[in-house]
Amino acid sequence: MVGSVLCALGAWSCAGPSSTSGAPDPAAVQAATASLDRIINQAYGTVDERRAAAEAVHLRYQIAIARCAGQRGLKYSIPPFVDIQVPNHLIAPGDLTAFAPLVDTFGVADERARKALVGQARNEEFLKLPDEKARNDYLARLQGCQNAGSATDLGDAPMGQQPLVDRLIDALTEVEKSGEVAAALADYGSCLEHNGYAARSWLDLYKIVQRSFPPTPAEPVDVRTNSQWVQARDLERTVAGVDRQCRSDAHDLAMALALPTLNRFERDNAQALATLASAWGQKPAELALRKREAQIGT
Amino acid sequence: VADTVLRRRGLSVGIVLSVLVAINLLVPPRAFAAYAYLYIGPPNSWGFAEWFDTSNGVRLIAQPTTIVSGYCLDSWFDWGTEGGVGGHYDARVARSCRALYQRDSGWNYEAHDVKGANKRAACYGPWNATLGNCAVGAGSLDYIDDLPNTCTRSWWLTQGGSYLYDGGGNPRSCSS
Repeated sequence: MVGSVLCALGAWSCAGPSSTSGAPDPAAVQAATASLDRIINQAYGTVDERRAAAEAVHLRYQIAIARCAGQRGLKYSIPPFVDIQVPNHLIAPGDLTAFAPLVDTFGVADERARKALVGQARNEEFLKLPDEKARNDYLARLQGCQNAGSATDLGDAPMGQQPLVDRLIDALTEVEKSGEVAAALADYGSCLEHNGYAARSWLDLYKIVQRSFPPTPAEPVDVRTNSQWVQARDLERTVAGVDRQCRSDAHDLAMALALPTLNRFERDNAQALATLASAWGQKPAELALRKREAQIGT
Repeated sequence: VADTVLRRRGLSVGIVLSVLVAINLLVPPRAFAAYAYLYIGPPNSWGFAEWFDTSNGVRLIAQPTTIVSGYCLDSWFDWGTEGGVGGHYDARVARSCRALYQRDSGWNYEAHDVKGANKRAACYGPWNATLGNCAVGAGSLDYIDDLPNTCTRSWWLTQGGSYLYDGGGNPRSCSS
């Protein structure tokens, strides 16, 4: 309705966000989706860049502990990195219900399977020790090194990402709170409940999916043949289908109404987005540097 | 007469409120800090949280005494959001899976305003399944206890003697 009024007043392009039938204009939905995708790709980097950034932080942290341990005459083995990154098309900035992508999976099954393959981190130097007394003595000396890595920058994302993403989330929140979108989302919770899921928001649903998986075991294992994991993976797909069924209309309306907001965001933050994209692009090189540093010696 | 009294009273209240507002604006707000211990699991085991709203600093410690093999003790913390801000903030947790040895996050300074503890708990249970047995200081137990994950910034000590840290991705999105 807002769009129609603004269109009539000449303040809005009559190509969107609403078509004459009252349904969101597919062209506006498509344009807004493309805009949000561009913003996410620049602000969050690619999945490979995020993975590289997270692994670089992991190595910085672990190298600092290993160096500190060395100064105390201890050997400390750097544990392998655990990759929990999801592809960009699964990212929901702020986990906002109106704008979370409509997907076939939330990425949790894959995340859990990758984690299980690595298992709980092990310090081989520690495990080599002959008995519990020797291990306790070792930990007593190592304990002061546990935050040796805190002096380094622990953020995965480039400088400036958080405030920019905050602005994006705040701008999208305003659209989500608008009368039309709020009204369209009003029945979301009851629709989920009708389908057997006690959730009021997309984030509630995401957490239901997370909790449906069995705990990732401590020992490295391929869980993809585990019956509980398979059951949870199937549930994840079912939940994603229910989410799509209950939220498609509200999502499309929100996207169409957000088109001017997203266009303005891209325009006003063009320089910051380009800078971030460039900074993310440097993460793989930074990771290579950390890997060399870890190999050279700690 | 009653109307006059009411209006006079309203005026007086208005003056008092104005003065209070002026004082509040002139005097810098006092730093607010708080800390709390929550006891859970084996005797004298605890989770500790301390937070400052002015510096946005948060520190968590998980301190088990004895521990059943394969079990861990967690200290969970989530802070309140400012009015009008959408979404949420990722939780923070310190976890120790070794008897007698604590996992201490050290002081970490958040990029967002810390407005008190929104949710706080200490939990004790099997690795990656600790939420079944918790002492709750505030809020609900809607954390994700399978570490690491993109909904939690975490510091943990494994049973195998590794000190781990994971940033948890964007602090306002569980999906990334």
